[in-house]
Amino acid sequence: MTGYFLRRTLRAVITLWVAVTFFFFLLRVDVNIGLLALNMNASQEAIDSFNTRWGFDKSLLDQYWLWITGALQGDFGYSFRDARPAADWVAERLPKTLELSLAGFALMIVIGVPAGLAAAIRNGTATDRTIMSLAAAGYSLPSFVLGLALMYTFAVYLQLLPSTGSTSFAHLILPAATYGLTGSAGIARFTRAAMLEVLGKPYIAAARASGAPPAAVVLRHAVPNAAIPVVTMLGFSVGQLVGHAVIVETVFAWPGLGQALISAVANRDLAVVQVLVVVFATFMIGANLLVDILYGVLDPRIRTAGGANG
Amino acid sequence: MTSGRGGGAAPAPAGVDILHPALELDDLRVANAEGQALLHGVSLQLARGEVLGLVGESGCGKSITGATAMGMLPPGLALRGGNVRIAGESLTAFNETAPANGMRGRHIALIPQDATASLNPTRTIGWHLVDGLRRHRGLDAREAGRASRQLLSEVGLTPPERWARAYPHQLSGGMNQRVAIARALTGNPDILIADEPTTALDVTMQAQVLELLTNLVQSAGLALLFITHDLGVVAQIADRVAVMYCGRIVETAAVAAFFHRPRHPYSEGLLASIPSLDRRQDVAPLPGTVPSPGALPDGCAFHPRCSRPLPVCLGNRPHLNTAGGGLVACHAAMELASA
Repeated sequence: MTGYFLRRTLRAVITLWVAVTFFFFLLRVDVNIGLLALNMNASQEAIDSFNTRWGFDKSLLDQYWLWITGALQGDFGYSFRDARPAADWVAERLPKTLELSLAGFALMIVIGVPAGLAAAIRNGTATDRTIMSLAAAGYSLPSFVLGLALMYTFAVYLQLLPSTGSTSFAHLILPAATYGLTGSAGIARFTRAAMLEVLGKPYIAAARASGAPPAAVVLRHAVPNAAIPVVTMLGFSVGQLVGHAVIVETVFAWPGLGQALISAVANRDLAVVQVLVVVFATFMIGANLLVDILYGVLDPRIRTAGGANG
Repeated sequence: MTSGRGGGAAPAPAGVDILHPALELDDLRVANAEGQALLHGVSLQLARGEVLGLVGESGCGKSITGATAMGMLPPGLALRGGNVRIAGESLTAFNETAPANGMRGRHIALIPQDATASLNPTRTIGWHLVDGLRRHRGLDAREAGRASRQLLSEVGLTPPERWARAYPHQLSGGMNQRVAIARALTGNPDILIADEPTTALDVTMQAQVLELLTNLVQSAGLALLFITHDLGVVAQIADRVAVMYCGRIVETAAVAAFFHRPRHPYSEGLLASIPSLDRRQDVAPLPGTVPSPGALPDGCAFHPRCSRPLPVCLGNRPHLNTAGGGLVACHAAMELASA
């Protein structure tokens, strides 16, 4: 188990390094940063002095060395716009994104998993068809459409909740609901499919034959097995938090990382874009690592691989 | 003498209580979703201390008979008539959702064909046994742990502490079959239904599992319904044989009488298709295949494949009649007996 954990962690670190390195060069290769960052009408001298000031006149490898050694010490460069450390952007906005994402993610699990379980257990009945129709609708509805619909209904028409901003718990409700409802549709479909597959396995029939009552068959035999693919799926959704964050944060003017990414790209603020890439890649790779570790916990066939028994 | 059609006058083995059958299947009728009959009135009786081998080709209804006895018909199949009695208590109303009035596991238990697939891959061997012991015997965790280790020793998995901690994927098929047997014993059942329990095992494992089952039947006085298509296994383990064809019992007999002189041409055909070392004769496989439930021939369902069909076989279905200490459903056999 320890070896498995260490191998996965090492692989995650290497993946992160490859991803940020790739993006470092992608953002710089064959690009005159000064020309992009400054006005199109800027003079050649202005562009040259800009490039010298920010170190873009050095070779790419030198730039990379400076950046990666700095990054390892927590120095991710400075914003062109306000000359503050780029890492400050993250420090300011990460808590907001985490707040929204975790609320949305929790909602996604609380709605999606029980709905999927209920649909699988009541397979073929009206309950199943109702849940699956709702899930299909939720799955095909883009999150910005749902977000705007919720905003119109609860903020504009009913005037129960604030439409934009992030200053109180009431502000969190609509963006988190948008996030959670969109995500729960996919989770419900996936949970149902995983559960139906497990319920058809011989060990479920054998559990019934051994006298286990229906509730025990579902909770003690089926759920632990169905949890394995569902946890994988949930892990990937954590990785997709980023894409959702960009959309939902924009719709509800939520001052998080997604919004920061949009404005940094619009402003050609290179160091900020770069540090956000690092953060988003860490999210994605960290989620995958977490899935791998949970896999080992949930599935004894992986945990005991290469074990001494039998 | 036993009463009813599943009996037979063969001398009962020592310890067999033929007057009080543990399991009675009475005129079981099962149909699929299209309304085609899969069991056409199957009656069998099984006493404690007795092993009944239920044989026939694939698709003859022997597994469905076992599933009906467990109250666990596969989805789409329905019991259309008949009665299952366990220790004299009738279980007509049970189905998939009602766990057989608490009978399942406690009075009647199943030993599956593929033991490894029958065990939950995310649970340890010990968990499976403790689960059954707590439910059926009402033990607390500590007592159930102790009882589970004793069961593992009983089925030959020693040291039990080691196997209790293992997962099904870490054991061989034969070991998992021992685990499945131990699991079936957690409720101290009177009746075991074993559906092809040795088919997936190699011959040495098969012999060990058969020996284990024989010992259990003798020591605990269990009634064992052993479903198989392997007549060699039947010769090893069974006291009586029941032969099924197209959803009907066509012959029952004591095992010695059956192998010495099968009455039904279908039984003859099954025996003739076994390769033999001492009789240096050719293997004669049965011609043709089992007809599908929707396309049963008129009269005797076996007549198109029969080696000596009579004119009466084409239009008249034979009923089970006593013949030489057993029962047989065949016009030719009856003619022979009365001649």
